[in-house]
Amino acid sequence: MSAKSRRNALIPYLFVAPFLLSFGVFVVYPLAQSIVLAFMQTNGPKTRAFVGLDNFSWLFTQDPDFWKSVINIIIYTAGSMLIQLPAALGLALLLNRKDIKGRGFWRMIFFAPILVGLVFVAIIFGLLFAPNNGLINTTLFQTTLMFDRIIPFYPDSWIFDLEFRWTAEFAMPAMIIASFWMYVGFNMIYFLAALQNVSRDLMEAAEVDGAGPWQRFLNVTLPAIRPIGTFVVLLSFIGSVQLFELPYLLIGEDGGPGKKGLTPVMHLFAKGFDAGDLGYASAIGWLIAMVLFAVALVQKKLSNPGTD
Amino acid sequence: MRKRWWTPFAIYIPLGAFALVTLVPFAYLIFSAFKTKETFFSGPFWPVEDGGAWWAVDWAGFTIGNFTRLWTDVKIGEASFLRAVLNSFFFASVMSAVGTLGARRWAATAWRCSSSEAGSLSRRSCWGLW
Repeated sequence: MSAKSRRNALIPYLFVAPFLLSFGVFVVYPLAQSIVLAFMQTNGPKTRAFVGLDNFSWLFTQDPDFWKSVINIIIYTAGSMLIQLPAALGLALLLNRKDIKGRGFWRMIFFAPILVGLVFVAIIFGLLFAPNNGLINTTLFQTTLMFDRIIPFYPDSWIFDLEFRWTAEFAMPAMIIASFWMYVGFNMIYFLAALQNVSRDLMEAAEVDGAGPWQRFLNVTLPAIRPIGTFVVLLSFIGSVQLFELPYLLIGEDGGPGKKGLTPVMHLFAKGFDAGDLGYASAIGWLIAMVLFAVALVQKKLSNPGTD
Repeated sequence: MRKRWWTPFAIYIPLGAFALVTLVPFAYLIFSAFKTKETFFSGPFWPVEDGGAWWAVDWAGFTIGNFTRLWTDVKIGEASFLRAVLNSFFFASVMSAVGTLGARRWAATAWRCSSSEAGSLSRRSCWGLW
């Protein structure tokens, strides 16, 4: 190989070197460090001792808060995906109709909440869910009071308690409602993009063959949007498992009474930065990462059946 | 396809209801931004007169003081709100520029490597990194 061709062969590496360098320093090195840390017991950033798999065994056998957070996140993930994704698909189907007026206007309204960010959503919903004077409590109280005045024999116990504390007693539904408000429009955009690529010819052919709207939806639309659908499911799952800011600000940093709002990432944060055990926090982090990786693999298999 | 008389209702009522649910927190927030500390919880949206019904607007309870205070009094640690805004602006600009340029670099290399006219670069060295 001549000197010139050797130099030419090096040019692409030279171009990607800045990226590789920053990727190595800011991604690969911290990841490698966190693997090492997962096998250490630490007390702050400077004191560490090798403990083997003790962090993991402690996590599985001696840490009830972690399991509480896992159960919470399963409920949250199931709740938000079972409500959010069908609603997003429903909205997308409505907006995908040919005869819809003001599609851009509706799309803008439904997409708007994603622009404000999770911290902002936590603050807004913290105010909306506030006991006594929050909008939700006031509305429910006034509505049930109106029913009490109109309907004879309306039980007094059905009048909504103004002092009801959503974020303490109903932490998980409050979080599901807040995230529903934020993400439904975001997921709708994905579904809408997928629906706009469903072949019109195929739909018309199905219609000519006598397929009704429901059959067309099941046999033409759903298979066509399946890859995007599974991607949205995966995205929602990852977002749910990594949930942190919303419960931290809405429910409280300790997860509220009975730790009903505690999530695994909040637990990780508490262990790593409040208790100072970065090793244990790394073990939690890697466990979460492995779960997400496994789910991503399953999703890949499901979205491409018959291919690798 | 025959259009039924109720089709527009079936489309626009769910859309409208959903839009209302989406917009109410924004409306609440906008009204809240113009309320004082004292009148903040006096009514669900706008300030309400003492002992009055929810629709009795207390016009004196509105203020633009929150917006002036934001630029003059509010401190985030040692920094002013303006500093925080500038920090965000700087971060967003740099990240957008670096992200876009990085993605462009990646896409251009990937395209060049995958095209049949890889020029003097051998395909092996071209794809070696990707």
